[in-house]
Amino acid sequence: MTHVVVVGASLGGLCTVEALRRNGFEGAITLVGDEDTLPYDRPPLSKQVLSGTWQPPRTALRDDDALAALDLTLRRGVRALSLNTAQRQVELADGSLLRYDSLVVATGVTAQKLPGQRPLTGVHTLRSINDAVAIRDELAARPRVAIVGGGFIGTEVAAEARRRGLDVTLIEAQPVPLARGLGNRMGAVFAGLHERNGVDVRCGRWVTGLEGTERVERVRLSNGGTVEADLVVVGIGAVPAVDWLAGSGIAVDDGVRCDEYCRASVPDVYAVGDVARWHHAVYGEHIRVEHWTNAREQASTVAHNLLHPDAPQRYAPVPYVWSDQYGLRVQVAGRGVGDVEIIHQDGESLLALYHRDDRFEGALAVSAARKLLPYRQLLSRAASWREALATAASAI
Amino acid sequence: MSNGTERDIDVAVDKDKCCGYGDCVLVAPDLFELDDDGVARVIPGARPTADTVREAADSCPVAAIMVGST
Repeated sequence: MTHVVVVGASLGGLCTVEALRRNGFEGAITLVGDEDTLPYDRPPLSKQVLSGTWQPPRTALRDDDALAALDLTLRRGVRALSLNTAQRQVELADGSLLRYDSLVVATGVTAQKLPGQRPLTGVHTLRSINDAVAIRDELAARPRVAIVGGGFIGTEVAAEARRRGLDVTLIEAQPVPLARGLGNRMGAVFAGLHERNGVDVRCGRWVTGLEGTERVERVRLSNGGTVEADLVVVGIGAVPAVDWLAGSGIAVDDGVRCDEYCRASVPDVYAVGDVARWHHAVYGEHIRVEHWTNAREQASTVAHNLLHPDAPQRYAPVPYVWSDQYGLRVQVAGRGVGDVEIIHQDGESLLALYHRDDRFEGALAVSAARKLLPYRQLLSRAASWREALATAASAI
Repeated sequence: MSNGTERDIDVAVDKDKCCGYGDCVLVAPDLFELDDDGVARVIPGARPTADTVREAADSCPVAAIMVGST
C-alpha cells in the first residue's frame, strides 16, 4: 500500500492529510509531530490565549473524532532526525525508521533567539502553546514588559500588555515597527498607533544583551541605553526547521527550495507551509510565506500534486495575513512592497495600496475589511496599478 | 443533498472562527457581507440556494460557515 509520510503536525501538515483524504487517497498516512499536543492553531496564541479569553484546549485544530476519521497514524512528541532520500526513509528521534513513497515536509519554523544570550527566566519567544501559556501567566504578575522586535508577534504582544495596563517598551532595529511587511511609511502609522496607546516605542536600535542574575532585570540597547524589564518577549523572526534535512540531497535555501508545484529538488518530496520556499510563478521569484492562510492553501495544492503528478497545479496565491491590535483588525493582502498610496483614512480606519510602477502589489486595511475586498479580487487576477486606481476612484 | 431549492437551509457564521478572509463574500455577495471588524455575517433577509451556501461554505479557509437543514 502507498505510504505518505508528513513530517510536521501543525496546520500545513494536518491540512495536507485532510486534502489527501478529501481527494480520495486510500493509502496509509503517517503524521509526525515533535510536540506532545494534538495539532493546534497558532494565530490565537498571540491573541485569545495571551489575553486569557481562550483556554489552550480551544486551539485544537480538530477534535479526536475528526482526527480518527482521517485514518492516520499520528506520531506525537517525536522529532524527525534525518532523511535518507535514496532509501526513502525518515529517521525519528525514538530510533524508528519510516519508509515512504511520498514525503511532505511541513516542519515549519523555529523562533529566533537573541544571539549569544545565556538563559534567564522571564525571557520568552512565542511560537508554541507552551510559550503562550508561559507569557500569559507572567503577564498576570504585572511585570514591566520589554518586547524585542516590532513584527506582528511583537506588536500583538505589546497591544495585549497595554490592554492589561502594563508598562511596555517596544524595541525595533528598523526605523519603524512592521517595516519588513508593510514598509516604512505604513510602519510609521503603527508606531503612532502604539504610542497613542501608551507603548514606549524605540526604533533604530537593537538589543546588545540582557542583564540579570536568574531573572531578567534589564535590556541593554545599542545606543547605550537600558530598559528595565521583568518580562522580555523576543519576536525577531523565525528560521525554517530544516536541520534534519542536512545531507539528504534536498536543496535548502532559507527553507526547502521547491518549484512552482511545491516539489522539492528530490522526486516525491514536497514542502508546505512556513518551511517551503517555492517558485511563485506570478511574482517570478522564490518566496517563503509564514502566514496561516498560506499553509492551508498550499496544503491543497501539495495534496493534489502528490496524487496527480502528471497533472500538477501551479501554486501562485495572493498572500494574506491578519492581525488584531487594540481592537483593530489589520489585514494585508498581497505584498506590502513598493510605493504606497493611502486611499481611505478615517480615524484609525485606513486602506492603503502598494505598487511598483504599474504592478499592483498589495493592500493594507485597518478596520476596513469591506473596502479591502475588491482589491483582493484585483490582486487575485494580477490586475495592474491603473486598474487598482480606477477601482479606488469609482469607490469614492 | 444539494438540490438548489430556495428553502430548507440554515446558514450562520461562527464569529470566533471568521478571520475576515472574505472568500464567502466573493463567492456569494448576495448572501454574505463583512462588517468593519472584518467579520462575515449573513445578510438579513437573504434567500440563498443550497448550492450557493455549499459553495460559500467550501470556500471558507477556516470552516467558519455553519450549514444546517431545517
